Amino acid sequence: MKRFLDAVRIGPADGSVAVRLLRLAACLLIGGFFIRAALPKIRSPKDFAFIVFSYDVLPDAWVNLVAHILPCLELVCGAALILLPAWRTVSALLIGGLLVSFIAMLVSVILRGIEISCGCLSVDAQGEPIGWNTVIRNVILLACTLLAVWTPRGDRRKRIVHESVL
Amino acid sequence: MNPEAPSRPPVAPDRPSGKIRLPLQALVLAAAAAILSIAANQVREEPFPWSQEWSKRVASAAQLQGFRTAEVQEAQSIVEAGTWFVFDARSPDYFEAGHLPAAMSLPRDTFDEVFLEVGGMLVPEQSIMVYCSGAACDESLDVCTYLEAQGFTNLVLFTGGYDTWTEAGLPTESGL
Repeated sequence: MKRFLDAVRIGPADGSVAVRLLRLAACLLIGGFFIRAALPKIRSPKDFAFIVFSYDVLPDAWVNLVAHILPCLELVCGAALILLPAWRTVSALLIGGLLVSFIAMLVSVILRGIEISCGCLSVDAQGEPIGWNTVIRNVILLACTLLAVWTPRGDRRKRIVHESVL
Repeated sequence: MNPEAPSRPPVAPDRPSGKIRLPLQALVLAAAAAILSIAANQVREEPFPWSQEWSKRVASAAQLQGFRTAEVQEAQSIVEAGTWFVFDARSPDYFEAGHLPAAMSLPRDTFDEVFLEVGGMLVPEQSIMVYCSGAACDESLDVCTYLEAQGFTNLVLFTGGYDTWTEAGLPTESGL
């Protein structure tokens, strides 16, 4: 198993096999989720822009810009998290930042009583509605993102050395 | 080996230090995302604009299609006149929760079925006003387009929709 983990080079080569497997699973889950979430938005920017506008948190001039760039950022970060070990920390940080802002916007929409589609995994305006379950899912994803970069205390020094040679 | 020989000067690191590596990597990922979004937009059959006035999107599209649009004051006059048919293009759930006085439900998504029931009451010259949730919703524009295709000629689109109506403090009704 250790050879396999070394071969796929997902995550630094420190920590026990169990910790590395856990990080591997977290990287695949979060990276896969973000890649899956990005594709329909990149295919249909107009539909995604309508959902962004419906959140009513951005000025008009920013809506299309966000609808263009946000899905590509999701795709790039998701791919980097899975495929580039040396970029794992930065991609996890960016994904974590995105998730925190998503959670804030979802809560804002719920508190303002706006009934709209989430736009999380599809761009269907009649798709998954926003609710507390959507918020909880994003909190779980945020926890998984932290797990993807988590290193047990005793392994931190080894991790720094490992990352510096990657 | 001469112990007095000067030590070799330190070699400049060929990798950025940890303090600047993360911001540099973040910038690279952001730049990659920006380049990817530009490239994706270039290969689309119909490139999507990078900026537009969303609040006036539906009103602009309606005017381009030749529909007359109404602001809230005119919509109020139309409702009070009592001679117009007023159609609510939102889904039945929203209609049931609240709608303009004397409005009838004609949801965009089930237009064909519902129009079979209400179409018999109308003549092509009938004055009709259509609305949906607010300034950005598409349903009223789509219903106007469908009605025009059925031969109706006197159509008005209330672009502000239900949101503007309630914000103006005007009366509403609820139930089907």
